Amino acid sequence: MTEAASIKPGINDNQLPTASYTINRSDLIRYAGASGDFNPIHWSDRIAHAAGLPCVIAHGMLLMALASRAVTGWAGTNGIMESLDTRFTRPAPVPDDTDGLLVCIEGTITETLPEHRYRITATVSSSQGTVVARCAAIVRERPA
Amino acid sequence: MPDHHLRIRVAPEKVDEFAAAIGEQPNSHHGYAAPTYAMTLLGTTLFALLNDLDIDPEGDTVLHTSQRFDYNRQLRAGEIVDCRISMSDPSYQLAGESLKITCQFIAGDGTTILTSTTGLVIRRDPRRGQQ
Repeated sequence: MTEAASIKPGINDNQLPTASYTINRSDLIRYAGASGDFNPIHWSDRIAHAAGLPCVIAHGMLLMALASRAVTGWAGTNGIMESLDTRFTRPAPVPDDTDGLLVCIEGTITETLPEHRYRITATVSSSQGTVVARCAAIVRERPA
Repeated sequence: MPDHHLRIRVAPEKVDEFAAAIGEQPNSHHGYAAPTYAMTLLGTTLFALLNDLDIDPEGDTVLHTSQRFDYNRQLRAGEIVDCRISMSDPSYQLAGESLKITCQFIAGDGTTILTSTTGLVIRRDPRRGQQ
């Protein structure tokens, strides 16, 4: 997994710093082994084509894990994630080349809630601008 | 659809393997698993549940459409947790069969650690009905 941009903790601005990651085919194999999700649409182009996909696609849970990394990075060490909700809106094809799939995660603090909590909404997009997942997280700040 | 129950150890080596697979450094969460790690504990059981639905992995397509976690805390590496899994009856929509699978992860002291809610859509291979 290649991290293309670092995330700076902090929630001073509503718009949070964009997090970017590159996913290639070996990342899919590594994630399949670690997660136990061997659904063939994540490793077999033949099965992916039969399902109407251009090629194998990233695991939705891998995209969600990257979104979770972004949220915990934004929240910083004083933030506790209370919930994370994700809708997988489009397949995320991972080409079999050296570039792989670049995903960008953009987040915004959309609501301040009681008891030092706030809501973050985020989109996970491919480099072509296609939104492949939408997330909402509730984060609570530990009192200083 | 019957509920399922299993008891699982949160193996530290698997927590580290998962962290590496999502690009995190070892022990990024200071002895706790990454927030989405819980799904991996359910893998085998989820596949068994799907097998009960007569899914053909070579022809049918299982789409993971949504996932939610509600946390009281994160899973701790090395702890043993009980997982209580329930699955909704399939509801039939234009996109296919829609299912919701809920799992409650419970600590040894009986408190709920987190709850996972998984949304799936199953698209059956249309060729199966023609054979």
